[in-house]
Amino acid sequence: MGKYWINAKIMRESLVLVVLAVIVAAAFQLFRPNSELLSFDRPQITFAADSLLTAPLPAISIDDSSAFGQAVAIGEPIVITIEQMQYLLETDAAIALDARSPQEFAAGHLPGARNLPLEELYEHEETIQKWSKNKWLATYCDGPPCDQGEVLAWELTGRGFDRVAIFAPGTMGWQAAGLPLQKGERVHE
Amino acid sequence: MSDRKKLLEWAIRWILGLVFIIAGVPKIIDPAGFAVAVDNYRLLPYFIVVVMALVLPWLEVFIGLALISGRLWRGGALLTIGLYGVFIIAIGSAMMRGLDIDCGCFSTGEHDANFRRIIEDVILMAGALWIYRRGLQKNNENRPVPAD
Repeated sequence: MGKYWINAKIMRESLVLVVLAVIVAAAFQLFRPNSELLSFDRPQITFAADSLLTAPLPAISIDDSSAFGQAVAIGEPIVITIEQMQYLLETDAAIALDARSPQEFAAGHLPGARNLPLEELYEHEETIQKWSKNKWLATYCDGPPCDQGEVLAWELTGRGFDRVAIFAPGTMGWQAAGLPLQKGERVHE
Repeated sequence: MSDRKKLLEWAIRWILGLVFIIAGVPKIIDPAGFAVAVDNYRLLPYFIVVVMALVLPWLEVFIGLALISGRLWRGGALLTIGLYGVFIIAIGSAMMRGLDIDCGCFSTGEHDANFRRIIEDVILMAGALWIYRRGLQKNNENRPVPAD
């Protein structure tokens, strides 16, 4: 008898635990107070207005909401599209910041981007402070659902940068639009 | 000797049980954060990601309670082995693809889908396998002998 690795009783016990978890999870989602039901569709991103990029400073408040359901105002990152990112890079109005790991950066990044993995943020404080506050800092990662670009954007905002943009479509969106990625290790510090 | 093994079995059940409860509760509180962590692995369609984000934390808690309380614990041990197998494959595949992501193991927000997590999971899975084998032996010994 000992040769069997599984038997009906143990299978039944496992099943009871799974069924219990499903029932309680469903009940908890439906009946817990102040709960927001999770949507089964991936959250949609709302992008910033084009006019915001050419304005001397971000407007105090624009009637729009960011991808994260908050009003866009001074001191908050905006979310930009592929076209807006292209515009910023072509006009040399932005530094593209790749928030992913050095390996991911080496495998393919936006043309001219710098690599600033979140983990290394504190090592580069001095360099970051030297960056022009007149340029946009456009952060990105792979694209939804990755959040490194967003987290980096908020970190930079907290360091006093007013012009911070999250390039939400990320490298996957950039590539899907037929735009080229650059390969190679980072050369900057 | 047998007492020592019994004590070890009890200790492993408690450790695994507590790990599951500690891992499950924060995800029950923040299912949306856990959904992002699961989605970041880019292995499953979003619909399944959401179902997993809702159900898996409760499953972890129930497995934890089963292991600690001793009720349904063999089933819990079997699920533990299966879950750790899935976790190891998921983290391994994220590492192979060079993804620098939150493993979604405990609280969210750390980029820790790394080799250390795989080692931890392998150790916990080995513990689960050991107690499962013991449970299976006891279970088979207690089984009535068929009449023929």
